[in-house]
Amino acid sequence: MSQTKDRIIKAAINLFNDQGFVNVRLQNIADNLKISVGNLAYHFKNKEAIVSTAYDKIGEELSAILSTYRASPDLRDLDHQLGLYYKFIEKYPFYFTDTLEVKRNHPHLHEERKDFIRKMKIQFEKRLEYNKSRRIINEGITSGQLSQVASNMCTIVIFWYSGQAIQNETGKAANFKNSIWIQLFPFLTKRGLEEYHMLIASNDMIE
Amino acid sequence: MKVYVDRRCYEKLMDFMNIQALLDLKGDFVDLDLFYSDEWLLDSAVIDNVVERNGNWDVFLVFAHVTDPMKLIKRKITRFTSIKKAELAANYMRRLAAKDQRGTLKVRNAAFLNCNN
Repeated sequence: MSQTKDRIIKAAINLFNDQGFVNVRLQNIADNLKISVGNLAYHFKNKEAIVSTAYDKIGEELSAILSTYRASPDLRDLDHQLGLYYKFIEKYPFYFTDTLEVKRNHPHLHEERKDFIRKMKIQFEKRLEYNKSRRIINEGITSGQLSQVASNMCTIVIFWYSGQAIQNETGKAANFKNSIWIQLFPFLTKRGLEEYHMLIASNDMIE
Repeated sequence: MKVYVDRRCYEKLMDFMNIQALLDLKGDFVDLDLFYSDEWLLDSAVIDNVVERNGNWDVFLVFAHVTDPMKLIKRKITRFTSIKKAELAANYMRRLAAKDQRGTLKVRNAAFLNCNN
């Protein structure tokens, strides 16, 4: 991507984050970059084209996060991925806050997002199954219950930023991660809790 | 190019990644015996291999065990600017290195246990 196009996308993403997805017009982006709308239109013919390119860029980052699945064969793997999700939410809050607007105005982008959320849920589910086979998660838990826990974890990732914004709070990575880990605690075995305290809680303290 | 996979396919992929046997494991020192205990080189077939690289032709010799061809070592011997010289040198090198200069020690294709499917 050319340097100017890159600048336009960065400015558009910043404006989407600050003002919301639907409230941003080409004029706003041009003003922000101190260029004319005509110049902007030379690079992207309309807002649709900007949004589409921005989503491609975001899609690449999401794929990179998904590809970290099973980077290590223990609980650190999940913790690491949660950290990446947090960074993503911080960088692109509009991706999750403007859900309904995107669904109404850009159905094809909504489909892409649905695909990502579906993959995220499957990954959570499979990770729980894997930890169950390692006896880190209680063997008594059924696959239906695991699926529900994975679904809850997904919901937290999607709505965590909105929740914080409603309460006018600025969250921290540790809070975000904890709100997801807490979903798992009731199902962790003794060995699972030991692993959690040894590998994750101790690292948080160092941070 | 974007490739979309359906839910079932993605689930299978994740299941596949969960298989413990496919994880990278630490190697063992025994694995390096291939290099340290080199008696097996006595019964190896020598295969010459000329490869064009950066405008030159590299001469490689491959030493493969006659009965267990997965046990092999490939070494670069020299390089030439002409393919004819490289092939000639490769032939001499092979005859020099091989135990049986007539080249009767050969690796059978079947010994690789290839699956033809």
